Amino acid sequence: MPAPLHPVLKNGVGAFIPQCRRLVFHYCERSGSSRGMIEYLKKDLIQFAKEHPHVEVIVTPRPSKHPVIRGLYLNGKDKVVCVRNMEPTDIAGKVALLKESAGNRMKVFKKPVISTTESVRGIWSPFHATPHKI
Amino acid sequence: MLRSFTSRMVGAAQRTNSAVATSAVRLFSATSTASQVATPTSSTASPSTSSSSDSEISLLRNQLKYYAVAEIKNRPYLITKNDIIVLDRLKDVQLGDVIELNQIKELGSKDYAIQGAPYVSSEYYSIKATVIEQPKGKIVETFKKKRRKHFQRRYHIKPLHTLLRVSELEVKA
Repeated sequence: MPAPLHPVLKNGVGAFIPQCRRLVFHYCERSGSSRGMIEYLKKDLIQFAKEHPHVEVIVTPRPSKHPVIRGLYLNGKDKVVCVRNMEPTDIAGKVALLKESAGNRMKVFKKPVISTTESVRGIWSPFHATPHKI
Repeated sequence: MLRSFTSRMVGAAQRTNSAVATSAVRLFSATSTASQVATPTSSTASPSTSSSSDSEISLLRNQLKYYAVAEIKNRPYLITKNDIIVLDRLKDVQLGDVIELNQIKELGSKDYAIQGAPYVSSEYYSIKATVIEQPKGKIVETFKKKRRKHFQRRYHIKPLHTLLRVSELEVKA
């Protein structure tokens, strides 16, 4: 059975599609570690949701657990960040981090350019280089 | 200045991927590709007066694939279309922003290249890059030790990046 064909996606070339699809905010109404989270939900979240209409924002209480933000991406992966005992400004930073990511694992970028195109000038070959004269 | 790559295809030997075409060695004098320093916000157009610069760019234009050496934040990046450029985090940029690159040191193809002095005139190209992601990298550990001196340190950084996708790389004649 031949392997299914997958489209080669090049986000940004024709159109740019933001990769963050959904952000789920969990908080506990009683516990102290959710204090900053509740303040963020009241103050800043609506503004964020209006500025980013492509992100589905869900707020759900999760009793007796630390506050957590879960981001779901277009490649099906998710990133979970625990924001216990954080202030609203720090939580806004974590939300921005999730929003700007693409669902991939954190990795070391070793090269400055990631390319799948063939080299323009071709690979050097000793038979086609400048001939030397003896 | 136009530079040509000499005799890459001279000879009868076949390459595996591409067809062989003999290209004569041609050198052009560095007269008129008057390149001006392009600032990030505005690009000054230089009038190409002499005819030899027009023929240089049309030589380049007749080729199929192009590359460019773009300078972003004083660092060179050799790019073709559809590439991803990995930069240190740019603070004043949002996802989806399109950045026009106008500090191009070299613009080339298989057989010819235009080298800017210091940059190629921006009327010869149109290069755009889209911000696609601003991720955090993996933890990088720097370990320093001086032996027999009771000195060792571990530094951890999690680098912040901005990824740009080169959405357009065109040579204009």
